Amino acid sequence: MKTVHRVIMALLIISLLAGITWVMYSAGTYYLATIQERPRLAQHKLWKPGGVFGHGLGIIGGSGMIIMFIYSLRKRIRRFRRWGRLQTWLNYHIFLGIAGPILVTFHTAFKFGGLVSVSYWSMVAVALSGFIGRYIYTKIPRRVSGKELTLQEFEERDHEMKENLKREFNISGETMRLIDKITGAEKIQRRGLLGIFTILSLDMVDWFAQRKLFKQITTSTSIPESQLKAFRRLLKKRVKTARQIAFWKAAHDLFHYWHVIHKPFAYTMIIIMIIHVITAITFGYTWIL
Amino acid sequence: MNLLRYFIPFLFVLPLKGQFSPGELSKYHEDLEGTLNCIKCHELGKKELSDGCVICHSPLKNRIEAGTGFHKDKKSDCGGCHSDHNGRDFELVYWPKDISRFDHDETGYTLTGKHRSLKCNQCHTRELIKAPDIIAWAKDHSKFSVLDRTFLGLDRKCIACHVDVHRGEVSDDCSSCHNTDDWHLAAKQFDHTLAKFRLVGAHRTVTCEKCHKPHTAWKPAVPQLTGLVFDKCTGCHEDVHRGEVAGECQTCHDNSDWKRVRQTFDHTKSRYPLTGSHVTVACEKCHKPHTEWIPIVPQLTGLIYDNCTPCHRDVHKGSYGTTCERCHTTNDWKKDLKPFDHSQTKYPLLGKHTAVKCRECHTEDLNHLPSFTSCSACHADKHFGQFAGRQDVTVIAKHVIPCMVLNRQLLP
Repeated sequence: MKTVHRVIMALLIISLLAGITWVMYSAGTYYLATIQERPRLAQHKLWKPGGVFGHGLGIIGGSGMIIMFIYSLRKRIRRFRRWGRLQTWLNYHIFLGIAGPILVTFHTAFKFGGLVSVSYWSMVAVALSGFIGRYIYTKIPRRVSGKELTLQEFEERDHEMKENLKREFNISGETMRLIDKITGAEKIQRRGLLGIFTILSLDMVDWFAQRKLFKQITTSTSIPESQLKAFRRLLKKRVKTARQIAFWKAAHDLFHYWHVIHKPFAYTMIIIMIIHVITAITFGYTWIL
Repeated sequence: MNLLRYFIPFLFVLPLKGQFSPGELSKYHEDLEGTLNCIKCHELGKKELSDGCVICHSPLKNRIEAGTGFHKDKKSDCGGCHSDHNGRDFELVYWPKDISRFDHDETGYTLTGKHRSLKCNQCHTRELIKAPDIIAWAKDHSKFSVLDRTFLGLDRKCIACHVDVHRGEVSDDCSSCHNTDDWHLAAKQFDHTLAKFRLVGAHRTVTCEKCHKPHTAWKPAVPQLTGLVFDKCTGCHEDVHRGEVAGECQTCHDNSDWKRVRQTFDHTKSRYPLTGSHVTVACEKCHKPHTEWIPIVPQLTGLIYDNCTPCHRDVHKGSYGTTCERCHTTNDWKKDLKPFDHSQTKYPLLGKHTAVKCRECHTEDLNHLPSFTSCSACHADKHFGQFAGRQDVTVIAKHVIPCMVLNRQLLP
């Protein structure tokens, strides 16, 4: 990720956090009030869904949800492939996928009903599935450019890492088996699509497991002090790669199924949102215009 | 199959009712629920609901158009105060502050005096609602007991809430006498110039009830405010003269002080016009009080004025009769005597007799008539009887002829 995008992303995140803080500070009591109490509060005029601020949040959040689709265009339409790195677009896509629902949630004032609630819950479904998708995405090995590696390429990389471990750090066959064991590759592969849960559980305890293995290996072998850091990095990479190879096919299948969920909800969200916007404008809700 | 998946989320849409509604309408607008009913309240392209609301809420429309009541200046954005789509049990009429602190000035009817301490429902009751449009509207919306909830429809007139204890005797503009600080205490600042009887002089300081006596037969026994006889003073005041004088009391009396009789009374219009010294005489010198009356007032009629003696002592003790004016005038009783015409008597004065003072002949009083048959009755006989019985030429030439000229009576 280029520095300029890092800066932009940092500013966006800071703006989002600042915005959330401001909204919670200004409208926290309003949102915590019951639906019946709200119209009696002074904040109602500003923070109701049709209020100046409430409506504004909806417009910004909704616009974000539409801008998100540029990522899909970049990904799918050949003409747009020249528009920057896909990975960068994905980062913005993810940011908007988080910021949009938060702002839209404030816009709803936590009142969900009618047709537009389908859009809202679809948006929630899209956002949540986005988190899952992002997780699955990380399980599919890629080049720096974001382009997927083939299984063969990836297995070659794994083999290379194994050789490096043996050659550079004198890792014996016994120790290599210990490393293979904490990768859980065999179990992941055996469970197929459900292997995602195995990966999830292993990822959750990975830090402890690797630390333990690292200590175990460093006490039984004579890796020089200066190379410990490099060994640890290689060990971590090897564990990740082994799991990715084991989950390679299942990951692709899962990602395919994930799209089945992610995309329809995204389209539902956007269609109903457009209906909602048209309805709102028809009834005169043109914000400050 | 691949395309069908895009319709899966829409399955969640089907069970939803009122898809475009942002929330359930209150129970009062329950009948308006439904997508096709939106435009019954909402005007397309216009966020505010004003027109949509007042189409149904016609009594409010009437008041807004007339510029009266709490809503007179609230022509738009009904939803700003009466937010709906907040659930069935949401009350659309809400008072931002404690209702007892509501600023009644905003209704155009300022609460003053004791009205300020009243509770809303002491006035705003269904029994006191008089406005026909509210009553009709309530009838059309009988489901919600409108008359028990509305704050509209009261009449501003006092008698709308208060019993007219004057029983229509006066106009219904109660505030011209009463104020809200103390209903029973009629305002002292009533402008009596508006009444048919204007208060002048001492009448200004008289308490109302001195004239406006209570209707004792009524409950409450309120003062009589109309029908008072005010064209004559005797309507209120006792005729202390007991009918002795007729005509307007004001002829003699002044409004500023009843007892102070006008000094400007024109006695010339009386049957006894004052002349001479009579003009400056105090009234009571002649008009003596009726001492047997209470209150004691001067006698104004029945005075005998055809001669002087009822008032003046007859110093002549009746010797000259009662026609004093023959000799006296009213200018000065003693000094301004009329000249006596002796020519009308049996003894006209001639010659030097005209210069003789009355008392030189009428030695005892003016009724004493000296004998004028002979000169010697008054004059001394300087001839010592020399000419007694003589009728000679000398005597005749010197005394008788002049005497005859003087006293024709002496002539044969």
